[in-house]
Amino acid sequence: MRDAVIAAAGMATALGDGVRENVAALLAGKRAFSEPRHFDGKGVKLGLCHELDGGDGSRAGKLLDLLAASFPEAAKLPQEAPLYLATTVGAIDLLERQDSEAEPADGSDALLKLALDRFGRRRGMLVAAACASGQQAIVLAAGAVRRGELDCALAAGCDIASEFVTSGFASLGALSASAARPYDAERDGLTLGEAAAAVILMSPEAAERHGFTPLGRIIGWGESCDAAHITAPDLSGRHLAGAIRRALEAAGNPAVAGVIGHGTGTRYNDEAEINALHTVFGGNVPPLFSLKGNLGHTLGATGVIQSVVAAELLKLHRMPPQAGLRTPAPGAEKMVSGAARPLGAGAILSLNVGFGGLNSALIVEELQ
Amino acid sequence: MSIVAGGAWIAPGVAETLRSARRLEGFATLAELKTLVAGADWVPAGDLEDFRRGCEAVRLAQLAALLAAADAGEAWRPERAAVLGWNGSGCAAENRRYWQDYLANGRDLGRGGLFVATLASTPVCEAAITLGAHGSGCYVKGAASTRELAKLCGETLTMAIEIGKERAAALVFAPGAGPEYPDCASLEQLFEEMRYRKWK
Repeated sequence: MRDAVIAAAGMATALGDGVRENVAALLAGKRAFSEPRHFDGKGVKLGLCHELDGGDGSRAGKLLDLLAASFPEAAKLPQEAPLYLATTVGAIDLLERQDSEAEPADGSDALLKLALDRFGRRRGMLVAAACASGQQAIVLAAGAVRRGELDCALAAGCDIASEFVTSGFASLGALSASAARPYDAERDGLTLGEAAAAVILMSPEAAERHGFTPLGRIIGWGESCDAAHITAPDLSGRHLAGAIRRALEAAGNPAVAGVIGHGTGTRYNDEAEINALHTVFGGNVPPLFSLKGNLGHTLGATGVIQSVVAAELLKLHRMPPQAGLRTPAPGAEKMVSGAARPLGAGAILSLNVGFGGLNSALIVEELQ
Repeated sequence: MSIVAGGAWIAPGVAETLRSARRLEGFATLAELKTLVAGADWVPAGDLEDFRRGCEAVRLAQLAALLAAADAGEAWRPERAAVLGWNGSGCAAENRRYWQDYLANGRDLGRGGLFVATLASTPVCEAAITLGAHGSGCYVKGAASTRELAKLCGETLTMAIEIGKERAAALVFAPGAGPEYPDCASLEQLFEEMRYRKWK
């Protein structure tokens, strides 16, 4: 089976637009939380791109515009390359504004149409696996490239901060009263964010042919479902551990230099992840970090962002500080740090966990 | 290479299986179909705890998946099986229901049960819980044919589910060589084609 490389990438988040800008902000431990201006957030803070405030049209369309502007390499993508788009509810603000008598707008369909248009794609697929959607889209696209069904594909993730989603997570009691503190002993919930990110996945030969200098390589993945509860994870983390083991096995059991965790900052998610990592790595768990302490939980976009950040960190040999960390959660003392750290040799394991018990583990390796 | 190891189809008042050609009929609601399914000794036990509070899409997914698993018999091994939602009617109606309820409650607090149903992957995950399927789970929209869907399944035993308004189809794709199945635009159509060919 041939390789799938990340030929190019782009992102727009509350930390800024562009991959380098975001990685620099992560390494500096910046946090980008503020109160929404486009709806009454009742005091809650979110990871927002305020340049999207105001004007007509869906916020999601404007977010895709920011992504496209930060991602000029997308113009080099061959026209036949399909789009794999990850989202949870898409351009949901279209439904928020609708008259109740109208046929309900399908936010995900609307977002797919916007993304096909922005990136000049002829065909695309919507990928929904709750908060694991981003990595799932990469897995489907990379799988098609590795099997030789495609030479190249665009995998993207996009979700906006909306009253719809904010009220929904509030109804589940999942939101932090202040700001997310992943893997902290006193963590009290997640902070939502909005972002769009995309990667061009190609065979190495196609990347060379189209003049790309790849950022990194997707070398394996594993997935599982707890099949236990529709919102809560299995706290033992055993099925997440299974997904991680499958990913490592598929990748040829590489040394793991670091882990970009899902790390939402909820008590249940972080505990399940910590337990899963102990199950797989024993007492020798690699450095762990979650970017949700910096830019919030960006839902369908987070897995795409994580894969790109993984590739960049491998080049820089640096692991960002855990933003929001004061006292590491029990079991995470040797994994997380409030200071940036050197990253040893090896690959990065990236984790996504979604409602319904969906688990995704993806392994990114530096290109030699 | 994959084969269709089993399947089921549900429409108003009737549910059928593919390989075993069993038929359940005369039900007016999905709750009544659930009673028929629970009483059928050829259907394996499944976790239907969330059935009562689930939306119609969840109920259809749970029941279609259970019937398809029964139809696949020993070929269905849930430990590593994936569940894949495909095309169908999506969840715009569930999104509308959550939002209107939130507005009706003065934009104060939404209802968690309605919010969870707004995710297109929720019926998939509820079906995975029902079956105890521990492989991957996701919903995709856009693959144009069952042949493309089979590519997504790859070498993994997969329960593919398609949910429409008041109807559902579930087919079990299993790795292996066998008679080629027709390429169709929907799982319901594939079910029909294979049933009329008296496929066994």
